Formats: sequence, C-alpha cells, structure tokens
Amino acid sequence: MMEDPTQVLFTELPVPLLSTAALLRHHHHTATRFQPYHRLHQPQHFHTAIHELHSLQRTYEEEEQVNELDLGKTHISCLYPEILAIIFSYLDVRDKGRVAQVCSTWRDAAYHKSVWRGVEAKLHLRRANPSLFASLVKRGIKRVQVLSLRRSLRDVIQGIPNLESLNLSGCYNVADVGISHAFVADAPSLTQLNLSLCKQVTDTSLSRIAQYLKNLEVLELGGCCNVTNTGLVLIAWGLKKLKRLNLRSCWHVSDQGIGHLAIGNQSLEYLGLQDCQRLSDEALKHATGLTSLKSINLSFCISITDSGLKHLAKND
Amino acid sequence: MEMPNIKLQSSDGETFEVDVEIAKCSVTIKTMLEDLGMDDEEEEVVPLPNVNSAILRKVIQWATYHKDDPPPPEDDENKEKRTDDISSWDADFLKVDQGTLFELILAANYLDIKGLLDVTCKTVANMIKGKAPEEIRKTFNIKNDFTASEEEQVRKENEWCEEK
Repeated sequence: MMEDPTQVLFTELPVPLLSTAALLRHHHHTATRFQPYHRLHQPQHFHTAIHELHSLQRTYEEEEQVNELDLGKTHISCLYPEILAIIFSYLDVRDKGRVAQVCSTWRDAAYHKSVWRGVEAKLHLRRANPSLFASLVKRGIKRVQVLSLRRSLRDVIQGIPNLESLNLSGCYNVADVGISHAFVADAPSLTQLNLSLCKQVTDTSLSRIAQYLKNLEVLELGGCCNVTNTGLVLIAWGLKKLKRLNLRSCWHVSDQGIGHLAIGNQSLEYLGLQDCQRLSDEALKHATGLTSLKSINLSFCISITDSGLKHLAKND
Repeated sequence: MEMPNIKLQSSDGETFEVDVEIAKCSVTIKTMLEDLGMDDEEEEVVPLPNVNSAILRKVIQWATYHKDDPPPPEDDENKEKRTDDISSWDADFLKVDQGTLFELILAANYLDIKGLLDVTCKTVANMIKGKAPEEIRKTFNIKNDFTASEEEQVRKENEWCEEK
C-alpha cells in the first residue's frame, strides 16, 4: 500500500506541486476516516500556489474595475465550490436561496446537494414555474410541503420523481380526483404523506394510496372526517410498512375498523385515535393484534374506559 | 521525554518549528509524517507550498490554542448546523480582513484541519446571514454575472425559500 518513501520524498521536495498530488494518492488509497471536501475532485487550480491565485485575482479585478481597497487581497472567488457549499450549509433556507441569486458561481455552488440536506421545500403551487421542480431535484430536495395548491398535484409527483415526503396538511382543496390524478404509478420513494385536514379526501383516495405508495411509513389523516372503516381495510391491505398512522377526528371509524387494521398491519408503531368518538373498549381489544404498537393516542375517546386499557396492558 | 519538534516551511521559505502533536492536528501533515516515516530523529522539513508565512503563523497559533480540544464531532446530517457557537477566543482570532479569512479557509482545507475549517466557514456564513443578494455582492465585492433571464429564473427557483 505504501509507496517507496524515498521516491515520494524525491518528487516531494524539489517539485512542491507534485508533492500535493503524491499526498492525494496516498489519501486516496489509505481511505482516511474523514474526507469532507472532495479533495480529489477539486479543480485544477487547487494545486496552484496562493501567490498565483493572488496575481490571477489582481488581473481579474483590474479588468473589472472594482473596489480599490481589495486589490491584491485574496478574494472570495478563490474559494472552491466545495468550500462555498460548506459555508452555505450553515445558512438557513432563506439565506441559502439568497446566496444562489448572487452570481452564477454561487448559484452552482449553492445547488450542491450537501447544502440542502434534509430541507423541506415549502411551496405555494400557483403560477407555472417550469424550472422549479428540476432545480429542486438538482438540489436533492426530497421533502415538500404544499402551502397552497392551485395547480395539479400531479405536477409535484411527476416533477420530483424521488419525493420522500409530501405534506399537504391544510390544503383544503385536495380531493379524491386530485389524488387519483397524482398517483398513477408506483411511487416507491414516498415514505411520508400528510393529508391532515384535507377534508374532502375519502376512501377513494386511500384506495389509490394503498395501491401505489407501498413503502409509506407515515400517513397522517387527522381531520379527514370522510374516512371510514373501508379505508382502514385498504390501508391494512396495501401499506405493510406503515409505522405511524394518525386518524385524529376520523369520526366514522369504529371498533371494527381497528380490527381491520390489526389483521393486515404488523409494522404499526404509533396509532393516533384522538377524538375518534365512536371507538369503545372493543377497539383496544382489536388493537392488541397490532404486535409492534408502541404508542397510542386516545385523548377525547370518551367511550374508552379502564377495562379497555387493560386489554392493552395484557398485550406485552 | 521532551516533545519532538518538526519544521514546517511556508511557501515563501520561512521555517517554523512546531511540536509534532500540534502539527498533527493537520490531517495532511499527520498523513505525510506517517506515510514518509518522518517521525524519527532526522531533522526533516515539511514543505507547505500552499501556505504563506503570515497564514501559517496564524494556523500554528490556532492549533496551539486548540491542541487539547477533543476531536471535532462527525457531521450529523439531522442536526441543524449552528453558527452562534463560536468561542470568544476564536471570534477574536478571526477578527481579520476578508483576504486573511479566505486564506485561512484555504489553508485549513489544504492542511485538513476540520476544526479551523468549520469555524472559519461559520464566520463567513455569519457575514452572509440576513443579507439580500445585492448586499452580499457588496460585502464581498462580487460581480453579478447573470443575464436578465438567468436572474429571473434563479429568482423564481428560490422564491419559496423566503417562506417562513
């Protein structure tokens, strides 16, 4: 693995620029524990001594005729895109968006995936914005919250093929027809879907979701008051990986619906039943079939009593 | 046993004698010493062709102050990155002109000193925060090279970032 040290030394001392290259080779195959800045992919001028950068910079600035005070000083344009990306990764979303608008070099650096890791794009989908989705994909953004929707939901699903999380919470105009239009093929990357307060959504939507979103792990249906026990049959049938299900205020759901869930779903860890007022102690008897269940929310379930909770207690 | 020293040579030929353990906070130097088997008695000089003496002096000053720091934590993807956790010593140390700050960043990158790279990048991030694109250009003397249509496109692509 090691090169002959004398040889490295030989190239090292008289030709300093080569020494960096030799060192990089070492780094490469010794696979050091931490290589944060993609040193191997840095542009060629990485190997240029700082003096040369200085002089290059000077010519550049003289041509551009900018602030005299900065002549001869190292300018921010000497920082490689990878370093700019590290700097931008410290900014909040608003400032990330602003640095992208500074100049073309900064835009390209700001669109590095590392800058947007974990960011959820919060979008008003109103006017046509042809390059928006492509730019989100380029940045590696896989989580979207729709703040308002006046265009087809399908634009989002098709525009961001690797979407992992879609939050439609409070988009009151999302209806079955929109959902059916949006999900027309398997979307295996989507693991989180939030439909809270999308009050027009019915079991028809759940049928689509159960068919095409097989890898869904989180489904929020809080306030979707048209969902019935049939919807739960579909969820149990299709969404085998579901870990979190929130049915808050789904008033049509009854004990039998919980029974349906328990038959099909062995992954469920959290079940939100807040304000599901039709549920009785029987529901909790069914819930014992959910073998992975770790947490359940029963607030405002006025018909559930201590004896119902005993079912859960026994289920250990 | 007294700590062995090594000599670091800057791009402009100045030599600095440094405690090996301090020099090794640079992963680049550490790897070089290991690969070249330079930790014996011999008086070796490590050439650092990308770092001038003014910056190397600053880097050594930083590394000396931080020599007993625990190793910086690995980056956690899920943790939000903070910039308000710069120690007062580092903040004072980085009260320098922009040119020096950028040269420190380049040196920290070249020498692979994660702690110094982190704190210098955070300092630049703090200079950017809260500014509009035009104010950022002024702060760093950057020319807007977008065409009108490019500027409009990039503005539209980033409009959503202003959402609370």
